[in-house]
Amino acid sequence: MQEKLKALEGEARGAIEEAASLEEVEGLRVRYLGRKGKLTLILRAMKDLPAAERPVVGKLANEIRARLEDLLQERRSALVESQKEERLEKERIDVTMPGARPRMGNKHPLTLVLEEIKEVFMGLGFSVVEGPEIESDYYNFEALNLPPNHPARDMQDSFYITEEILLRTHTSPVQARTMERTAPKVPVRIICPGKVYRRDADSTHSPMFHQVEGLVVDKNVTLGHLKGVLTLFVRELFGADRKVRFRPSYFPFTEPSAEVDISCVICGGRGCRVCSQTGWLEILGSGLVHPRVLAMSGYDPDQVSGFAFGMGVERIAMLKYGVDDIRLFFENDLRFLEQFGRG
Amino acid sequence: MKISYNWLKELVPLEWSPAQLADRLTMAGLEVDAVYPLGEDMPGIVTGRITALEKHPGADNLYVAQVDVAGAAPAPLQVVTGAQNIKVGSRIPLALPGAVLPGGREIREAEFKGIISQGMMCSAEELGLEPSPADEEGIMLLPPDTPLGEPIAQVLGLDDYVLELDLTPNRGDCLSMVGVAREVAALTGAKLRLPEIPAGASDAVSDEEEIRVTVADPDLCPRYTVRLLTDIKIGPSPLWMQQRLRAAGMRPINNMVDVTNYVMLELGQPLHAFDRDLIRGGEIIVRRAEPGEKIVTLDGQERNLSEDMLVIADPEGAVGIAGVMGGANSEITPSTRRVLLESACFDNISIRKTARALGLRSEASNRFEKGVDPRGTLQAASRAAYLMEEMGAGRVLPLVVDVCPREITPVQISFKPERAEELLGTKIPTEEIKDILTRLEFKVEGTGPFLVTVPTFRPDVELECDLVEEVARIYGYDRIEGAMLQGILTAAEKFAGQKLEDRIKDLLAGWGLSEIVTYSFYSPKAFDYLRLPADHSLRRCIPLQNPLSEVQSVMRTTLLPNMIETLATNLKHKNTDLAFFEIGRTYLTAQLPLEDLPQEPPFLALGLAGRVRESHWNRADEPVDFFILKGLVEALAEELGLGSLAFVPGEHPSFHPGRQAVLLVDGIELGILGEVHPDVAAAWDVEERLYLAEIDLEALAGKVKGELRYRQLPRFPAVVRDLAILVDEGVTAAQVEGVIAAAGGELLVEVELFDQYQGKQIPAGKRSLAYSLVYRAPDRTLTDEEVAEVHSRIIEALAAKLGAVLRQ
Repeated sequence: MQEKLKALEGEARGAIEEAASLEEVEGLRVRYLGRKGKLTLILRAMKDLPAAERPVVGKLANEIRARLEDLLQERRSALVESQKEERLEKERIDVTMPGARPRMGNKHPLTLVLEEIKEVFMGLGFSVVEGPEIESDYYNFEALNLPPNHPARDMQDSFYITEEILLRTHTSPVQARTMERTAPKVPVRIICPGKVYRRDADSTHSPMFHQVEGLVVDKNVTLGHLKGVLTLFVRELFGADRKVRFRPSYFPFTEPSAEVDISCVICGGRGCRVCSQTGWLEILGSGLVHPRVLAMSGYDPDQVSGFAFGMGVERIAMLKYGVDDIRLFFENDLRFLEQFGRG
Repeated sequence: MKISYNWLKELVPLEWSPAQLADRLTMAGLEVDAVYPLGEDMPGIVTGRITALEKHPGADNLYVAQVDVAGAAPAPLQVVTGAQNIKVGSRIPLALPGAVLPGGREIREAEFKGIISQGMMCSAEELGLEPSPADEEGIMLLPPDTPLGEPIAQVLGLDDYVLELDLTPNRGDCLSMVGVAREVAALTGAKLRLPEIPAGASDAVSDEEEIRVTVADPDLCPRYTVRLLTDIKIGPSPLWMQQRLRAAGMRPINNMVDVTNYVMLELGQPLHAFDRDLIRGGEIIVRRAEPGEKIVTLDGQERNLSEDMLVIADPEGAVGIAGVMGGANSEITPSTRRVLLESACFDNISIRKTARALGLRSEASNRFEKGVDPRGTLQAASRAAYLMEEMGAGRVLPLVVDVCPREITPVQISFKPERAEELLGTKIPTEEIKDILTRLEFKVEGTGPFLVTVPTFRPDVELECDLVEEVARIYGYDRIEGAMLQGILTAAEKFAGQKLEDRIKDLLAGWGLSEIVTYSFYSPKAFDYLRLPADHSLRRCIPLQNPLSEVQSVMRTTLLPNMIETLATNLKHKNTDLAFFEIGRTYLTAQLPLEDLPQEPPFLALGLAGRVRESHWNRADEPVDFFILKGLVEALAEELGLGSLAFVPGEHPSFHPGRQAVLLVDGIELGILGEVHPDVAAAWDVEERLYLAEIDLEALAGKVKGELRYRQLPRFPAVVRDLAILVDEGVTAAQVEGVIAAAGGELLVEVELFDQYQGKQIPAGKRSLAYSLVYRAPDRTLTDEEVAEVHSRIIEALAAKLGAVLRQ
């Protein structure tokens, strides 16, 4: 009997170890340990044994059952594991193939530049205001010390709608409107971004373009403040080691006036085609608000002073991004727009 | 204005190099655009004299010349030439073998039909010069006193530099060499060396000199000065003068013209020379043109004058347009015997208007427009007259006629030196302030506040702040210290609309749309392309008076044409999958022509075409359609916190009649969205389906809900029931949902359409809609009975109101 049991164990072990699927393992369990299994059948024959042998054989039979059950479980786990391995192996993919990306959108490069400009000035306490693009001759010219027939009106050939109404040629009218609204209160610290229009069209001039105007009115504002604020602005926008220079210029609505140049972004100041070999690029017009402009807007030029500045957004964008034709901004070719994708 | 470096050095001592000079002038407010050498070096081109000239034995049209080049060659050189304008004794530029002409042509010893030529005689053009009329005849003839064997660049004054000034319009005084020299003197402290001008006036008047001047319109002519010359001999001007004119970019013509131009460049005063014998009646009358008056100008064109234009006339009619161009009837000719030189000061605005109206802008009119010095006319007339005499072009008559109808009083300004520090933020010593102003030829008197007298050539200086700028620019802007703003802190704010626009841009860019920026004007044809009926309100657009072209001639009333145009252009460029947005203003008015400023409401436009995503190897292509567009609008509305949305079928003529919806929020119309009508797309040459939306941002801003509020999370479970019904085709989802919502009451918290079917499985003319309904109570778990009751109430309502049949 004991011999038979041992033989059976040997046979079952061999079969279990060779089982190749979970079904086979289950079949072997039924075959050896099931109610009609071989071990069960042998145990049933125990009643024919002498009483003294029964406990010994019984113990042995139970040990064999336990061992076979462990073995079956082990085999099952091994099979599950190897099936999983096999599945994972089958599921192998070529990870070098292209991913399915979300569609990328982006803001217009002019918006990106404008956002940078706004951020710098808002950090200095400037508020963002707006004004009409279709403007009266009064605000576009007269209130800015440009009476009719002023030669400087030639500097900006305008689109007229009627004798008295035109497309604004600069964002400066917002200065006059803001001061008129605020006077005599100080301080005024604003920037006003927006579209402006001039009769001009080539690779560096567009009949419509964008400007940002800035204005500070307060007690004791000086040309020194203008230099301080605009130097900080230029370095924020074009890098901390950018050289800045202020040189005298002329605008009817400022006195003294200053043109702001930065060292050339292309050649770094050595001289190249972009900067006409001068090493410098004009970036901003600025100056102390002309006393007549202050007075016309309701401020007393003996009590307060101010500075104003204006810049072309396209020009800054062209310099920052190396765009060589202003028309690209308004053609809106997707291949152009996509290059500014940082949402 | 082009400045000759060498000429400037004659007027003021100068130690700076041309590049340093350019930098200093730029930093003083006279921007120098470019600095370049006037002529090329031209080594190997020297002056020579023809000592013998014979016909070439083997060629009829060639000559063989012997040329003496003094020390430049050991012996006279033999040169073969075809030139017709040379003779023995002519002095000419000769390019020796090895010389390189401007433009790169190299000269070599060559053989012409058996005769060796050891160089080439040069024309003005071959030397890179603007030829004068005399030069056009062939070889450039040099004056008889030209030294031989000298480098031509030096003889012609080409060893010079030109500085191109880009002057601001207030600095008319620097449209002259003396004006620029004065700036240099102010910068360096050196003394000006002005040309000496004989006064030469005399009371003795002969009959020959009899000339009267009447200024009939003194408001347009503050001063009119005349000098006379007789025994006129027209000929070329001296080389040095020709070269200075060339350096300034002007073409030498003859001694009369050249001198007037030269003095204009030197002193800034435009001059005009009349043939005295063609001035009828011996009288010059300065007056406004008469109605219908005409004049043929020097360029041979007949000009119609208007009554606000100033003319120079004699008793019989106009002989010139003041400050703009002379008349052909009084022009200097080779037979001119006597010359009347005009040196006048005209009203700048009048000249500007006249020059613009006639399209005649010249060096002279440009100076008059910027304002010439009323105190400088006599000086300039005399300077020109004596230069002419000096070069043998005529004899100056002593008579001076100088009509100055009103006294010329210089501007005086009271100037507190401390005002400079108040405005600049940097202290400049009072002595230095006074010194700078004095160097600029301002007269400074007194000590407390200065009394500053402004020179009459500086009409741009009127106020104290102008003086501060004068001081600052010569002192140097770079020496003014930068400072940060001080005072009350202010809160930086964006205006409300800007915040909304920024938010929308962020959202849409995040969802894959690219922002576009387009022109605010377009062609009025856009409205036809959009199929708008004749009386449509969007056609009431604001036209420009002076557009650049018809395609940019009216202000936009809708962004749709710009968006379609952008989509069309991109499709043409083979960009196939497009998703764009634009935020921009429209320009609307109730009334035309415009009397008040119009409204400029901002709109948002969306534009889609092609596929939702770029094609991908393991994703199916998904074309954009109405619901992709609508989904964007819905998502935007949700993100912005708009009130309750509704979409109702629209009737916009630019859209597909069955695929467009009006967007309503809380019952207010905010915009339109849909598929573009195929005829509209075709108008832009597009065959693809385009999807557009246009939303009024001002109206939308009013619908944005305020602050976000937290709502408690549901504490009791929800019960989900599906519902599939059959309805007539014409019944909309919105109608069905309306009935469901009304019947469902408070326990129904969500309704979601998950399927739509039309086809063989169901009767024709019907559609099947399948909804998932979510029920929940805030305070308890719903029982099956409660849910069943509501659900069947919904089914009954659908049947009763819409004839819906439950699908099993």
